[in-house]
Amino acid sequence: MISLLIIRNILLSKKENSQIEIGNAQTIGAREEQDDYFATCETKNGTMAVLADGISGLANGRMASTVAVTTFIEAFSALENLANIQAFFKKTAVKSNQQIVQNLNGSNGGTTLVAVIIDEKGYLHWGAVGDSVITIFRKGEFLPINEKHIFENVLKERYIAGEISQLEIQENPLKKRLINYLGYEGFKKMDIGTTPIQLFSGDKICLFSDGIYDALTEVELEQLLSRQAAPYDIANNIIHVIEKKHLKNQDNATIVILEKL
Amino acid sequence: MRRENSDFKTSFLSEAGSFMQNRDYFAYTELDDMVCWVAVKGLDTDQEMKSAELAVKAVLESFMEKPSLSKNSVKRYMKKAHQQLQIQSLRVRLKASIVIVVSNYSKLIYAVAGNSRFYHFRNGSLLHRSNDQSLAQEIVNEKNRSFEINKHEEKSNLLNYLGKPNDFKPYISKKMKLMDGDVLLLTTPGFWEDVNEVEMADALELAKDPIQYTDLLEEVLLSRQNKIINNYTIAAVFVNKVYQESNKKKMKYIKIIAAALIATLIVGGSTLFYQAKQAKKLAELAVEMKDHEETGNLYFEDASYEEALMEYSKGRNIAKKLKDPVHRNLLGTKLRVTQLIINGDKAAEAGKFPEAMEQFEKASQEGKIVKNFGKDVIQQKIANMDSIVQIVETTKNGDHQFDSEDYFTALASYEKARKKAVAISFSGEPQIKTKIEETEEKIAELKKVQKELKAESLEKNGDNSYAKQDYVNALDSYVLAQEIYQETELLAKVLGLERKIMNVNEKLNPVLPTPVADVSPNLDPLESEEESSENVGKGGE
Repeated sequence: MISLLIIRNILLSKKENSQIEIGNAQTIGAREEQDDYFATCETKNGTMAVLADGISGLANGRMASTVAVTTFIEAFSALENLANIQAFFKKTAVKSNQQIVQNLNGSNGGTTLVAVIIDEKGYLHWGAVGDSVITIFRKGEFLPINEKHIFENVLKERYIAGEISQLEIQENPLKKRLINYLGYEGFKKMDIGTTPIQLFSGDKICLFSDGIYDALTEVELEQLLSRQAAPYDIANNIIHVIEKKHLKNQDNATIVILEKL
Repeated sequence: MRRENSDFKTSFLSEAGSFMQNRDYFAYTELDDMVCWVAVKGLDTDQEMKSAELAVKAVLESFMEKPSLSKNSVKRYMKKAHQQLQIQSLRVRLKASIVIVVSNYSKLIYAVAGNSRFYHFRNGSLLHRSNDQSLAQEIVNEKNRSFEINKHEEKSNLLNYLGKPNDFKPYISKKMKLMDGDVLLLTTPGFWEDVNEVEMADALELAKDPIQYTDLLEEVLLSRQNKIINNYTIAAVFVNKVYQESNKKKMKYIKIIAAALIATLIVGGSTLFYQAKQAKKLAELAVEMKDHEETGNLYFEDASYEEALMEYSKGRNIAKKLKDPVHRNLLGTKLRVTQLIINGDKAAEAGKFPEAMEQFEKASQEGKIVKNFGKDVIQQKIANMDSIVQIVETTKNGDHQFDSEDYFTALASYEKARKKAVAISFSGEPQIKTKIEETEEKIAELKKVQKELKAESLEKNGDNSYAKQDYVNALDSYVLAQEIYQETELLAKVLGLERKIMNVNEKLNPVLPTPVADVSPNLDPLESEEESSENVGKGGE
């Protein structure tokens, strides 16, 4: 825990030789506790950023997000090389899921998780569970990376299969509900990028919890990320804009930005 | 009249595939001398705005405004659509992939942004195909690598598209000649990624007309039995006969488009572009919307901005219901301009002149979007700022004078301010008018008090004369005092004096019988009250 906090404090200071500049910010919103948790770390293999959004409304959201992030950061720190990165994501996701289930000891809880690794050659590797978002902001445009694990996508598949109607999707009150997250027995596999994505100078890799994209429109985010400023300032500005909106049901919102120099 | 002397047949279909919504859109319009076909695939996920439809309508509007077969014009049509998507990107960035074909019935120009495609067949085989603006196409062009773009993983990685935040560069072709028997095909990626050019040419052999051709092509696509079928659009044009150009020197066409034959496909059904033959309710709503706009315009002309604001707001709400982005934007702009004028007026009234100027400047900028809406009014208001400064200053002086009870000077100041305000129809004029009325009331009050004092002093003189038994002077004083009381409507005093006058008259003419007071009988109770009070107060008699 303490080591993690130290790591998080180091986040803002850029490594001299690093090709990645990191910025982050978060707000508790209108919630009583902060269930979002994030961390980044740099090793000889590259830079990792992890963001988890503990499920509010379920007890132990905070515990689940902390365990997930910590497990990933520790596993990455201990990693010898990036030879089998997909296996790394898969194994670590299963491990953190087990850890959370064990801690929960039968009670409810869980977390989403998005993790990215930027290797020394400037390629992006990623893994995602739940409805947090990984996106690359390149030349003023968003390139979405992961797909949200929400019930709506299941409904869409059922529509394509001819089982239900359009109306049934539109009117389904549970369509935004998570269908896959860390911290339950039925955990499915993590979505993992099959081919590494080549990054270019100026690319901003963004990790958002849903408190960010529910509060800001795509156009607003575009404008905020287009500003010529350090990732840390941009991230804080984004949170500032969200806080200024004073939305009644503002969820915890966390953003991590990794800019390729 | 090129259309009448040529034979172009168009048929199209646009379907959602296995998706919930069809975000593709196709429409075309045939004018007397020009024709324009547009096929668009919407690339965004906005649930309210249909980017493809917006783009198609923007292109056709722009084309009908100024139909032309020049590269610049086609570029302008494309730009209009691009701007429309940018303007409408309020929540989600609207994006679309478009192909436009413009022809004068003997030649054509096509334009592409993204990866919607144009195919040109002649004698049953492919003569030309548009290039995609995608990474896959770039790899083919630059690295000279040959692979099937249709299946390449980077086929949808677009380098350019409508609504791109920066550096929008559509491709505009050169003019290409048409020949009898040519077949043109406009398609979106949902079709071409599963049907290749050889299959398109093969299907052409079996088709006698564009309807058959599009049906056949759809059959080929659906025969793949794919689990997921993307939105797809197929539009075919059979050029049965091209217009024969005369050898005379060509003239530029400058025609006002009046009776254009427009055919449009609206997703999920078909409607005539510009002549929404939808439900009666929609038509009624559209009429209502126009009514609100016209009423708003009238109010605006009458400088009743608050009322205009209300009308524009109602109209805009209907436009939202009708999902009519053109009018929604138009009325939205008018609404904003009106609001800014109101803000400017209020700021000017409050003496915040820099703020007022800022609001008027903003209104002027906003109005430019809609044919300089309110330009004259705003310019006049800016020009009137000097007068307004003077009006506000003079009114302030008036206020100071009023506060220090110098009402006559205050009235003069207010009147001077109001005269100027009326001259420039200043919105703060009613307030100045109210101030004038208040001042006049104050002055009237003062005059009344003055008169009262005078009357009281006359009455006192009368009492003194009466006491000295100088009844003639007493009578004069009483009569004068009574007249003043009458003017100032102090009835009780009038009656009191009437009694005193009667007494004096009795003293002056003791022999004569008591004259009857010229007072109506119903005032008797008052009289008796007065009498008793007089007896006490004055100790007369």
